[in-house]
Amino acid sequence: MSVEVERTIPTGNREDEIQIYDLHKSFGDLEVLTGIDLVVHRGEVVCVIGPSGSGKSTLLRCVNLLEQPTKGRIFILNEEITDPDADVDRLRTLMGMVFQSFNLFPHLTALENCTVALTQVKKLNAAQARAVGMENLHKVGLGDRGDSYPLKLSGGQQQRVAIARALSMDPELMLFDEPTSALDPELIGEVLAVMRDLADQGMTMIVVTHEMAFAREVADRVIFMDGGVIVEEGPPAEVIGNPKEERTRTFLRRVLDPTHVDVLDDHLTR
Amino acid sequence: MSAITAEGVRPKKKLSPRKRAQRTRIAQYGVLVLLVVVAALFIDGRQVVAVFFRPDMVAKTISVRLPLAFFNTIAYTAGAFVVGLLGGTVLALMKLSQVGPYRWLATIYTEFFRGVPALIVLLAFGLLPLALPGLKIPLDPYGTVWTGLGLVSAAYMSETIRAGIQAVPKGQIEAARSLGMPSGMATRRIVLPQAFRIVTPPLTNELVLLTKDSSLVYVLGLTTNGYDLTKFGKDLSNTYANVTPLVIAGLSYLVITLPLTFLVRKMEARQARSK
Repeated sequence: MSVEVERTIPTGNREDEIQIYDLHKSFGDLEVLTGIDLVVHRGEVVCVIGPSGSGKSTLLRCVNLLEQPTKGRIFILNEEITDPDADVDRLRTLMGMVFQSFNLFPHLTALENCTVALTQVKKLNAAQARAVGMENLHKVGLGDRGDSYPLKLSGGQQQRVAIARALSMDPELMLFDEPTSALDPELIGEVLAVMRDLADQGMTMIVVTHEMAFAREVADRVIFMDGGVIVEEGPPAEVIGNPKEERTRTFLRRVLDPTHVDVLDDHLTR
Repeated sequence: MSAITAEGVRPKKKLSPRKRAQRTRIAQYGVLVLLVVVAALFIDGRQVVAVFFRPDMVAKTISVRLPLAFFNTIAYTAGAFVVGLLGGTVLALMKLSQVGPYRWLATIYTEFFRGVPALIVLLAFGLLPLALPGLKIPLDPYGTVWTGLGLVSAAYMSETIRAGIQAVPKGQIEAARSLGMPSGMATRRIVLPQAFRIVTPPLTNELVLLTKDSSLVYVLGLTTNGYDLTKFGKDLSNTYANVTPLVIAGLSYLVITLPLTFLVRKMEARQARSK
């Protein structure tokens, strides 16, 4: 098998923006990912769903190497980020990342959050950086809040600034790590709306989420993960609408109807 | 039901809690009044004022070089603080380094300089030219004081700064790295500014301690132009056999330290509010 893998990767196809081969990740004795293979194409929106602890966030964090994989290879635009000689910092500028807890820089204004990497990493001058930052704040509907400090903004606004910050680097693709999980229910919509806009504009996205409605409407492909492997994947209508795997069905039943407690489920899965 | 447990069980008469608190308070005021009366009876006020606060000595002290001594104390303190801050930051980064020997060195340094009296460090530093004949510390005596006191305060500050750096959430580094910032840039641009915001109040407290510790420079054998407040006050007090100059020197320290402590309280209140 390894011989075949060596021959086929990287595909060299420019449309294959992310290629993940045989990805493993353990924390000590705990195996979180046990062999993930995944190719994400240009302009594709992939939603990753699954129970907590299934490894979906770890998968995302391996893609931009915030977690160092234990085994396996990852290619970004056909360049291997897991290569020890890879210019990881440059490859990271191609991927915007949005975190569950926003992780905005509290000592900088919303605009400065967007410009700090432009001036420091991309070496733009202050005026150019400002223009790019303002453009992206406008894009997320916060053009008038550039001078606000993050803690003065609502959770939804903070997450939108975080999206603007990631977009300011003009990335090829975006990684969303449960972007709405830390938000009050009434603030989730404004963030999802921004993400939907991005998807409509053709941005390549991997979204780890619990928002089934969003996955169903926006995703081109839904991936259900459990126990560190991809259990089922396909169009949302199939994976969410008509899942083949029992594990997927059990998970969806719990997510879509949290008040429904099926005692039988527990006995079956034990 | 509650009436039974409250009254029925203990028939003995007992003071209500409020009554008891009132009596304690009266007793405390009583002790205070007693102390004041005793002090007034046994202390000769005029004699005390004559020794501690003689008006003509006050005038003399202030007119003779007090401004220079005041300036020197501030200069010694400020310089030592800058040295301590730079050294403390380097030591803090060493303590968080991936490289084991850096961590050990920084820990040994901190434990040594925190465990040894600052007076001895300063004395040893004053005698350093004996050991290294070619050594000439520039800006004498300021250079000697700045390095001597700075080395000691760096040890204290490094612990504070390390705690401040560790108080910055890990997600901050991750966000910075995900934007393509190299590790050093992320530390300088994202982590350190936040860490210093966190540690400004404790570092200002350190500045207050340092202001008082600058009085240790008297062991260095200074010329009159290099006198700090303490040495200056002590000198005049010896000459005139009167404590007034020392009292003036002490009050001068308060002019520096009280605003700083006030500032710390303000900053701490603001940080508490923003959480």
